[in-house]
Amino acid sequence: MNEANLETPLLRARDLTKIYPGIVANDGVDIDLYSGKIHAVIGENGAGKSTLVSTLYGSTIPDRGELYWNGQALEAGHRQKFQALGIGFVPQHVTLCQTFTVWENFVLCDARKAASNPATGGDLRKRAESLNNEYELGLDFNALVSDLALGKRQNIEFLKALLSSPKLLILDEPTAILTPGEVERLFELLKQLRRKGTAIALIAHKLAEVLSLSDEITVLRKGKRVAHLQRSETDANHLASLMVGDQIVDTSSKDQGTPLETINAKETRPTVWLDEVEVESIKNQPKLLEDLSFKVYPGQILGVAGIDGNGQRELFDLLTGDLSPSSGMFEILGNDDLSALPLSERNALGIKRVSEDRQHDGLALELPILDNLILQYAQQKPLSEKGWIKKSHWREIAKKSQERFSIAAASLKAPAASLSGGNQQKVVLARELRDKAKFLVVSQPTRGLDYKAAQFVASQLREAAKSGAAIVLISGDLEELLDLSLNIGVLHRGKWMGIVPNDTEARKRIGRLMAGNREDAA
Amino acid sequence: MKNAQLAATLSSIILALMTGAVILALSGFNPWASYINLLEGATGFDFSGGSRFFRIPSRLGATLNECGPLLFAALAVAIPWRLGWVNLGGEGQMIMGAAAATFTALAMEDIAGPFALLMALLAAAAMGAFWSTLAAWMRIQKGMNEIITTIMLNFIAFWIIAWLVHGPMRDMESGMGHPWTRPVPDDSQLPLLGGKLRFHAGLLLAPLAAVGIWIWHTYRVSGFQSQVIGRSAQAARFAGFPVAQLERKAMAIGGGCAGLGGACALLGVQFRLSEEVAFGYGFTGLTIALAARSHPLLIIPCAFFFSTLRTGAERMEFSAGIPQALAVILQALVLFFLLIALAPQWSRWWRERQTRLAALAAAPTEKGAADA
Repeated sequence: MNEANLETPLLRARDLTKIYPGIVANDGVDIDLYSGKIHAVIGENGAGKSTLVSTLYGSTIPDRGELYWNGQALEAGHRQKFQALGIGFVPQHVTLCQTFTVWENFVLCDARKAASNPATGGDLRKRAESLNNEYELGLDFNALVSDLALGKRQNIEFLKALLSSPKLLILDEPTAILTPGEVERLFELLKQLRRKGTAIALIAHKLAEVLSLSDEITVLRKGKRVAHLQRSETDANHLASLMVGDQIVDTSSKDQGTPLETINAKETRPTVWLDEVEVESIKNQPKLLEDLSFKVYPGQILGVAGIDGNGQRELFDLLTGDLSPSSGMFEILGNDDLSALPLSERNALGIKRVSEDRQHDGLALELPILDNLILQYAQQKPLSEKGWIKKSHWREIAKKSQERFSIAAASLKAPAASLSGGNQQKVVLARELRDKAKFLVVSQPTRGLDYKAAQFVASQLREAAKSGAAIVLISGDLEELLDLSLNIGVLHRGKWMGIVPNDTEARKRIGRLMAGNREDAA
Repeated sequence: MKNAQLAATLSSIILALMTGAVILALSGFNPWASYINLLEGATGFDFSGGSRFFRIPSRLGATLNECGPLLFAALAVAIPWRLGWVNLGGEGQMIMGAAAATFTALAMEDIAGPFALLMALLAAAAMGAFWSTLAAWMRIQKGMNEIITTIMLNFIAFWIIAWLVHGPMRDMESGMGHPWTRPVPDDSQLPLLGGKLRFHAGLLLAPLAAVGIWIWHTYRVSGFQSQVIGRSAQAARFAGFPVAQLERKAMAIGGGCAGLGGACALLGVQFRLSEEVAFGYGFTGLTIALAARSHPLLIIPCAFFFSTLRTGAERMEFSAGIPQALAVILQALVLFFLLIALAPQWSRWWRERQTRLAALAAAPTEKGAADA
């Protein structure tokens, strides 16, 4: 910290304070961003990270505090001026026009220039293409944004920011929606930019990522800066305890709780039993899923690893009965044709799902939290009788769910949209795990959640397994899979590459399978 | 109904009246006097302080009689709206309902007592429901946009009636040359109530229906499920709700209401079926439903407000020479300000709707998806 202070920071912020009704989002925060340095801002959900960076890229006006650009005072809250100075920003939620092509989105962000001068427009194209090649973003400029995966869409945002040749690049949780492979590529990119002298500030959740990438780290807690550290001064345990504010956090011993004893396979029938299952697509397209062979017994968690878009969604749909197998032996809870059952009956069988898109699939965001906690149980006794709603029972049961999952909400009457991401996920889990689940299919359950919320979700999955549920956990987070599952299967281009027991060798073997190399071939 | 929404409704109405005042002033009328005139026309009150304050009760009656069909037309929009459907076919459903009521009443001319009236009302409801169910079927089975199909069905309904009243059902004997049917017999007409006010029983029927809908929405599981469908169709599907069945039901009930509205207009006021039987009701019903944010109870005062506008403006043209179109202008202004007040909600609602229709186009029927 001392050595860095000798040169003038590119962007210096002093005493930033922002108060929203009912919450102090930032409370006297200082931060210095230097050229050629990567500065990570970490903290739990609601710690004030987003407010801080949005002040830094010029979209929030703080109630108090000063900004200096190269030592010169800078008036806050002029995004366009900030942009002209060379402050680029990559948002957390992609803000593209989905019905336009990639190229049209570039034109859109610089439309005035492109329209007023066709020559410059051409230049824009050239520059965009050269950046695309230089950073190996792999963007097809003629593709429709709506056809692209989330990771690719983020690359568009990234290129958009690079087009203005930023001196300072700010990224709001860039890894939240990326797969492990994409995260690695992004980090390479950021390091490349760092070498060229760009200052980088990013919000991150995963401590391992923070430690592998950043030079400096600022930790926020409840709006206050609790620490500013050089990379060399800290480690994961230290950071975690700073973030949550208690000393007992220990990330090295993950309470794996001896991954769920293997069940005596002779006595119990597996909940899920797939053998050589294939799912065909339409019209001679490649098969959606191939070679699926696995069993999951009650009390087991089977992890499914793979780079996003390699058949995870199809597997999720197959296991919940939205897709039906074309061939092979398929049995879930004694049913060989789930898709013939209406969804209400599948729910009644004890099949529960937690989809990766919780906001869209799992919640009616505008409705009260209370209603979202009840949802499918509304037609059951005693929550209703002969079609009449019994509101007092609803409140009782919702209250219980809220307590059990410690959902942080002032009132259950507030809309679900008012909850933080972590608490929204808790609502979905509280609902799906209220009845005893026999078979639970979970996809990306902790994506975008902060450390504490993710730990809680993991503990609830363990709990569900302990009480006898068979769980298939589809996740892009290898740490999470290794933390929770007994065995881990790998998908590659829709092919089931095999199952790896969760032991010391697992990480290496899974990596090989994810890249498409079968064990026997290697 | 949250306070913010109530505020949006009230402020839209107030802003519309203020803008209307500006328009009146620019056209050379005294806005204050015009509005007083409108109110007098709609209520029969005499605000200028004559010897008898309540001078012409039957004018208030006329406003109340207008209120019934408008309320039904608004319910026809509001009920499917709860599930995210846009029923713009209220007018067509009303026309078909009125036609069914006429046909039934004329066919049962010889039967005395209220039985024929009851049957006419039932026929109207059934016919309206049938007409809206056509649109529901087209969307659920074929993924066709109901905004378009319901409008198209309006035209079909209109031309069917036009053919009937010009052709087979035209009253050649006592029709005085007009293209309309014979009047329905006295026994099938809605009984007049309210003494001097002279409003008919349809006025009671409509609020009763609105309250019934409100109870359904608030206290029934299927009402709750409908609301979830409107907010997140995907979440509703995963929760195992019978989505298509509830959608069909909502459209049928909405159409049934419109049919009853048509019957009210015919059996209560017009008595002879003509092409104009439901003229303008569809659009006004839509405005009312939007102004009330589709809340079945709030629709009641909103319907009264708009029927006041309609009948008052008629009177105003007659007595002060201010064009009747003022009512339509005010109505459009209310809509305009509502759209502004609720713009963020609209865009979110529209996005959700577009994803649903896209999903529907990919897999038109639930059954089809299961078979695939």
